Amino acid sequence: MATVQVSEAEKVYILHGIRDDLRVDGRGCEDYRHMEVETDVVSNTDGSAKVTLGHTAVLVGVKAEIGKPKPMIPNEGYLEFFVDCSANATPEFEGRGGEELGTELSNTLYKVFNNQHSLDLRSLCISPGEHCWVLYVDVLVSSSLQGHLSIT
Amino acid sequence: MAVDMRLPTVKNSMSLSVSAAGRKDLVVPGDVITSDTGFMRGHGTYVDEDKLTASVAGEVQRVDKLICVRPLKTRFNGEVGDVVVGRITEVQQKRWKVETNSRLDSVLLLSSVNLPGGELRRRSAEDELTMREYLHEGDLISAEVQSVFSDGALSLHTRSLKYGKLGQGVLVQLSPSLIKRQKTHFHNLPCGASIILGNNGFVWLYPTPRQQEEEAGGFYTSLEPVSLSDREVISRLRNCLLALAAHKVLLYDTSVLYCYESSLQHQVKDILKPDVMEEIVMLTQQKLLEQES
Repeated sequence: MATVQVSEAEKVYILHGIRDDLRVDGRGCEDYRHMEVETDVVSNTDGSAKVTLGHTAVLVGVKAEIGKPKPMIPNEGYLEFFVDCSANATPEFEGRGGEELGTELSNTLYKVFNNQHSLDLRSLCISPGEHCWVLYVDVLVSSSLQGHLSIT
Repeated sequence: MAVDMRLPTVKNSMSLSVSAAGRKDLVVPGDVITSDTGFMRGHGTYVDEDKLTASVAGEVQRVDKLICVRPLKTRFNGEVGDVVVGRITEVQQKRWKVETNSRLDSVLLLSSVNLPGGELRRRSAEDELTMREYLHEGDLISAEVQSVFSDGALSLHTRSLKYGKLGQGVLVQLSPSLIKRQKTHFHNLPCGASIILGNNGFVWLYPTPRQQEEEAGGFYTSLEPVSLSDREVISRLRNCLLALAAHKVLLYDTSVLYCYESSLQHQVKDILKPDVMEEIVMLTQQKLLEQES
């Protein structure tokens, strides 16, 4: 991640402001920036969305295919994640630069959706042990400010 | 914690009020300016099959037989006398390297700064060793361009009490072409904050100092907490600057002040929303047109 250079006095100003719940741009500490959500943007997917928050833009596409359930859990479907930090976002993601961050985000998504409370995986089952729905979720980080992502 | 979300809408292009004082001659790279071979080609142009074509996107300027294209978005090209706000990137022998959004880092020589106490003496070896105590990497300074080196790098100086190290405040980085050239770039706005509009696009917002410190000359930076009301004024000004820059409005003290006044009806954090930004900028432009006529 790129570092921003600030002087001592600027640092003090920012810290004092946060103490009074006032960021430099006038937001409170818990306020979000302007967010835009658009759905059904990619026509050849079963579902897609584009979210813009501040300088970060993320495009997500979901494709559903029929596959064989995992041998350990025969009555549940599963999700496959792939996060691509594209070089459009920042020059640091050029070539294989964005791979590390991409795998880290994919692993986080796996952990988030791997429990019963986020998604009922049993609803993805068609016939136990033989067929189930596999949801392939592809995430594309299309723009960010010097490698900082505001959307998790 | 309320989150404000919305669906993206088609942005209506704002109706530009074309001033009667002649339409600007705007070109994009590849546009043919003239087929007449009698002209000399200046910056931003090249000759392609006997036709003078533009190589940058900008405004065509004709001075007698010289044609050049002044780009709209460019790095800062400094001239002698420009006021800049810069950040120290390196401390070298007898000079500092300053980042000023130009093609090359600018140079601040040790002999071009005021020593503490305003002494006038030859810089000694000891002064060289204590350079870092005065300005180190990351510090912000306001300075004036003293001269331009042959390679285009700027040589800065802070030989006046109004220049020097900057204390607490907010830096806004904008395009240099949006800053209007004026007699003075230091303004104490009536709303309660002060602003330095650097020609290089760096704008510094800071709380107006209570008493004018004559001795300081930028050496002593106060780390006292700034009051909440001053902070809100500075945050509002920052958002107004970003709104004006997003709509390509020329920045000078009057336009910033009008934008501030137009934004008072909204909350500070709402100014960042695109529709509120548009509304405020339209009001500002109306006020500016009224003032001109």
